[in-house]
Amino acid sequence: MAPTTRNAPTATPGLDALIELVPVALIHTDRTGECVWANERWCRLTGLSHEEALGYGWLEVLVPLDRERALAYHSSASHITEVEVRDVFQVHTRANRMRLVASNIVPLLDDRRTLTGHLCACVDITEREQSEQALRALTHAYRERLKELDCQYGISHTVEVSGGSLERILRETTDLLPRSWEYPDITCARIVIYDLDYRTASYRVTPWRQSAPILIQGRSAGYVEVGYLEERPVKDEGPFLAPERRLIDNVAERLGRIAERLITAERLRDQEQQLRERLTHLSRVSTMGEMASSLAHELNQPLTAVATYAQALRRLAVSGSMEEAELLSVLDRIAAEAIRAGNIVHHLKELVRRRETRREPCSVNALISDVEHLAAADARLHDAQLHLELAPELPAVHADGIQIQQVVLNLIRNAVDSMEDTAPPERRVLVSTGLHEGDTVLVAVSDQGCGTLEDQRDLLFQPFFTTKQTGLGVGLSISKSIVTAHGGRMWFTPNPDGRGTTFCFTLPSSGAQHDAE
Amino acid sequence: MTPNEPLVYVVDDDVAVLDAIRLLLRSVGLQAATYASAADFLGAFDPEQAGCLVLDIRMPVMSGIELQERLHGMGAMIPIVFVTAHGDIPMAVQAVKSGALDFIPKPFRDQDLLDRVQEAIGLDRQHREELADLAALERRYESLTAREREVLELVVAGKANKVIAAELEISQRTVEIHRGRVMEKMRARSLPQLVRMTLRVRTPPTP
Repeated sequence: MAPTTRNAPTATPGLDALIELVPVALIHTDRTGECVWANERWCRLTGLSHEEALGYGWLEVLVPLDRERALAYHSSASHITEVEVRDVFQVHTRANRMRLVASNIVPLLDDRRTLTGHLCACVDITEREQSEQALRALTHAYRERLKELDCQYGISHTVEVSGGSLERILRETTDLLPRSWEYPDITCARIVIYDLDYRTASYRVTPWRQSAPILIQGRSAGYVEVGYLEERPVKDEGPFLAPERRLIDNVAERLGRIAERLITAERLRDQEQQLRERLTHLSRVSTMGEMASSLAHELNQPLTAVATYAQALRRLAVSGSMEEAELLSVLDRIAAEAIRAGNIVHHLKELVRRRETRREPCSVNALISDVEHLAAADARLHDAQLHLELAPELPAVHADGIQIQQVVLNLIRNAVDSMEDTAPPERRVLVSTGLHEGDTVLVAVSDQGCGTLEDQRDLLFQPFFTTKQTGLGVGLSISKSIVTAHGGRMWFTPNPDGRGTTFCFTLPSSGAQHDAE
Repeated sequence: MTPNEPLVYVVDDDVAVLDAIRLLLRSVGLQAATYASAADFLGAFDPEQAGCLVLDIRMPVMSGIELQERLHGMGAMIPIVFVTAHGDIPMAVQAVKSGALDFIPKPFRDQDLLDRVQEAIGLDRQHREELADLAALERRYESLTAREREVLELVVAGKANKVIAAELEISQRTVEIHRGRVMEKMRARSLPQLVRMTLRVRTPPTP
């Protein structure tokens, strides 16, 4: 093409003005890449004057990295001589601003299809690129935020469905973590709180990992760790992104709070359980206290027999008036009485001892028969009689035997105490057992006492309510809570003949209990 | 066994204690009859039988105290030794006030029980002797004629023979004969003895 004049490509008058209307910066180079013409818009874009652009001057506004590439496109040495080339260049303008420019480089051919030069059309895409970048960043940020929210939601969901099991929350959160990181497939995670330690299946210690401490009540209790199994490009923190740091910190803090709450709740539950057991024990001891003189009397009988037998034997031995067979028989009787005393003490110790709740299959009849002696002694001391009517072949119940005996003794005690104003021959306590509503075992304790006043009915099962001079007033309320804890019910009704009251409680048979579980 | 040979009744609802006491009594050669309830005892009790009762104060259905009341009601004089548990002391004190010989807390020293039992048997024997004496005296009193009894009353009232003769409008000599008869029939060796005997017959001691 023709020499380098300002209006070189414009052969037609008026075309010059037309060209300036096109919103594109244009530059025309010859076969050697020297600029022969540039339009006004190109000069405005670069800050170069037309003169400065001529020759190789136009290359100066390109960043050094782009210069060679640009020259290559524009020279005949370029292998791209037939087709249009698109590329993006960074332009350092004379006004000292960086612009991003998208260029279409078109080879110019003469009639013989010989390359005569190139025409390069440039568009400033700086703003567009910037907004695209911003959009990309925004999208990325949203994606990260979404992952974070997904992870947080996952934890919330786990907490909700875990039923308060810290183990389950930690296990599921561990498995939840990798998918919130940039490369889920190579991400492993581990969560440690005290002696709880959960890891994803793929977990191993890697050089590319980040972790966050878990604090409980301000003290270090463990950590959350996330690692990549393979190396990845360096980002904000090693291969990790800033949002990932935020997320791991967040998860650690959240787990700390959850663990603190659950552990505190567990401790409270433990304390409550302990308190309940202590109160149950206290009530049992209190009942025993009320029965103390009966028990002393009960123990006194075998001791009296032992002492008397022994003293009689001594006399008979001294006088030599005893057959050996009789001697042996009396010695056996002494031993039997000593064992009887021992059994009373043992049973008493069992009832008064503080112990953990322990449930096992047991026979209600056997439990009642076990305390019959004690209860009868107590009844006798108050000139009352105890009668048992135990239904044969009752199903076993799954229960804490000592606690059930506590309930029975308490009811018998109350029955005896209620008959203070009843004539001694009529002071009878009847303890009966039977089946109730299918396979539930029913125990009923009825007295011939003063009955219950209408306005006491609602108060009877309240703790610390008592109509007696002595005692804590917790017996009935504890008895009821024992029965309730065993899955049974407790209630009372006036006797049909209008004399006295019957207290009843039920216990599900162990078969029914298992079905319920 | 003859009613005069003492028998120790033992009532206690604890069969082992009952058995042990029986053995202890046997070791000193005392016969015992044991019962596990007050009702059983009442069914077998013979008021004529000499001896005593060893009684548990606390028993079902009928307590020792109630049995004591029943025996009183029957007019039975059998001495009672109560055996008690520690908590029953106030009740035992009441029993003693109502006439029981004593109470012994369980468990007891053998000698304590045996001493009380012997004491009770002695007391019973004494009661029975006194009763026998009184019966003899009454028989003698019954043997007096109406006139002799009139003379006796006036003698006991402290009147002289002369006054008696005047009141009964008989001779002083006749009074002296009656008076000699009375002394003889009542087997009184002196006037004061005769007075004592007469007072006893007229106001028998309350049990």
